[in-house]
Amino acid sequence: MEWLFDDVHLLCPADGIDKKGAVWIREGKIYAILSKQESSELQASWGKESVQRQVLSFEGHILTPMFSDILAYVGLPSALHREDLDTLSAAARAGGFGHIAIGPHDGQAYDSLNSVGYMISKLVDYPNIRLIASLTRDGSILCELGRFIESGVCGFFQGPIRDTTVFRRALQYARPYGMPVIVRPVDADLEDVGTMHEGLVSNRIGLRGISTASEEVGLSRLIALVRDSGCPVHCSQISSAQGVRQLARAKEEGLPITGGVAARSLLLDEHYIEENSYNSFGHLRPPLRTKEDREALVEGVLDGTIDSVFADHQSCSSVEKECEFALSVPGALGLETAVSATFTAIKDPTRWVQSLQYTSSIVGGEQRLRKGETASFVLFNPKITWRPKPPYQSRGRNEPLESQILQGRVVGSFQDGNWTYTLSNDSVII
Amino acid sequence: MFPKDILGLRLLNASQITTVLDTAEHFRSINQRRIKKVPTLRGRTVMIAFFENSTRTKTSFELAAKRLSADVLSFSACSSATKKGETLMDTARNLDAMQPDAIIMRHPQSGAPHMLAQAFPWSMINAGDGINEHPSQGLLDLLTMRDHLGDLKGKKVAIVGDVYHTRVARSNIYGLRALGAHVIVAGPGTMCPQQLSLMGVELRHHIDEVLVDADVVMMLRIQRERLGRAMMSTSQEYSQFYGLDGKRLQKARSDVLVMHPGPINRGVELMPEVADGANSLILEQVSNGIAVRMALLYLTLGSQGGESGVAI
Repeated sequence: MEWLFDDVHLLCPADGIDKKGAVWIREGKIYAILSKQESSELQASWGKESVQRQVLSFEGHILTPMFSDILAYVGLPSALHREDLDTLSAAARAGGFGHIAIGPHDGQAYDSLNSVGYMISKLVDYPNIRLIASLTRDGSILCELGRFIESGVCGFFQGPIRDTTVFRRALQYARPYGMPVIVRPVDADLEDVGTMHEGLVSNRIGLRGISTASEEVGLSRLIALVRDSGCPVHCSQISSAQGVRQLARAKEEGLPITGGVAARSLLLDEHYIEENSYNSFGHLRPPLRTKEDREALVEGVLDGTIDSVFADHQSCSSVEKECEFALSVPGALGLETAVSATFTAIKDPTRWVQSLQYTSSIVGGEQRLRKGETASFVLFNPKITWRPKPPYQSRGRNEPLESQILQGRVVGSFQDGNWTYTLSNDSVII
Repeated sequence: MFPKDILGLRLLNASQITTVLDTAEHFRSINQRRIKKVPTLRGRTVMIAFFENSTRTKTSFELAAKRLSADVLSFSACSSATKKGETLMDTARNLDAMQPDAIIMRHPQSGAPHMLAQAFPWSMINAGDGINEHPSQGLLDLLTMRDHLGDLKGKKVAIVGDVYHTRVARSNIYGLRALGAHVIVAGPGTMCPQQLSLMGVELRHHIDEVLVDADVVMMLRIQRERLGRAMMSTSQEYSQFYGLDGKRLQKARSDVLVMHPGPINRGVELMPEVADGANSLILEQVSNGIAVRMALLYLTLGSQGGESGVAI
């Protein structure tokens, strides 16, 4: 079977490709990258299309290697009503993500050899999904990092941790293994007192706030420990302008530290909760912060201070979200909207691709637009405007970006030489 | 058209607030009659759902609805239904199936009534949600102030104490600001954080500074049930620096109005000689509560159309 994806905008910053052209796929691999002229000549030589040869014209569409994501939530083993591997995988494909990694969350810690082994056994049938295990158990005991690596994990994650000595030793312990260490930098005590960003809106609508200081203190401690331990760390999520400044200073100093941001944080701010009648879809950790913070995050992605954008995908059940804001479970969907949300917010195709492919170094599946590479790419129509609306491929429906009109949409995912997702005609395009 | 729901004074403009106060003045006369009942809401069903303890607000709403001849069903829940496996939304769906015309709800979580109001057709009257708002109390406070001061534009109202955790304070701030009053808040730094100044109020930390030229001093109870860790030191220190006793009251104008939303912690924020003194309007506030709540039921159910337009 051969395909010619014609008349596309080829975009692969890693290969320095940013041009119009065509991609010739043969036996599941990229056979050639063609200019418009070369494509016309090939089509003429093919003559009439056959079942074995298809020319697909995607004028105006961006064709780029698939995106990658980290720290997605799956409800294994006991919360399959929230998300299972099939629905997670489908959501990733619909969102244009080729490789993703599941990460620890409340109730799914992946902090023992048993739980890691169980997950790895479940992932056998899902080669594009990897596992990120916990760095410590409950923030008090070092996990068996070496044995986890032997089991097949692709990195380690540390959420809020109170004991700084354990944290320091965990980074010292992790460093020689050379595996990615991902941290959400936060002071747990300062975060636990609230449910949304502390500021004008939280005061106005009577919700207890989480001060920006929670991130500043957490990030300051992390930066000191990275300096101390020499362990490279990726901050999964920065949420504030102050966080962006701290990250920039740490990088200037030459510390091995990188940072990410949730795609929705580039579009939404604290006003979401007020404007949507305390909608629990806006209950997130870290919280949506101010407009100024949001603008600083966008700027941070554009100037490269923030390296990656991720989906921060966490499907919740209706029971967990159809309740009072402060009692709801924090988290939101993201895989099916992150690519569009990032495109809408940053409007720079090169940084858009770079930031959404950044974590491929963690989860694997780093792909290129080169002859001989496995054909895995996304077709993205930048002209579509749409508003997310259920049903989703994910099992949940807690998508706060339903409040937004997004620019551009993944219309197809072509993975390992086959179509794995195409946008159906009845989709909610406005 | 009056709004379907009363969720907070943040969402009402000056004209709507004035309409409530004017309507309450009319209803006040009914409460002074021997037969304290009018047929205004005959055939309408009002549910009173309190997920938090209450004495005066619940009684006041119940009396208000009954004096307007509504069918009243009142129930309490010790805590959120979520803990019993049912979401608040499911609880509301069940209530909705009984076709109420209005639900008066008190809930320990901020925003709970807002969430239901946008999902259901009946009127939602917020009787207090978490630390957010207590609109009917705010309105009865405004009515009480207006009775004594007339137009509130330019009047200085000092709110003293645990402003951050007190929903009445938030409602008063919105209502007073809408009517043009100057609001000064004073209290410990943890209970009057910097961000309060973003709400258009003047922020002070010493009660003596705000007493001097205030037209009204509203004292607040420490919301012990809502305090987090390390919000205050001792009651004695609080009382010494933020309590109002007879001696401190002498620093204020002789005609200053002293208010308190109740319940009072006598000896902490308010000394008996002030609570029961000549400047105190505390019991007047309670009396005005019924009239204000009658007005809220009349106006919100009236906004639905139907029979609530029957003459008072």
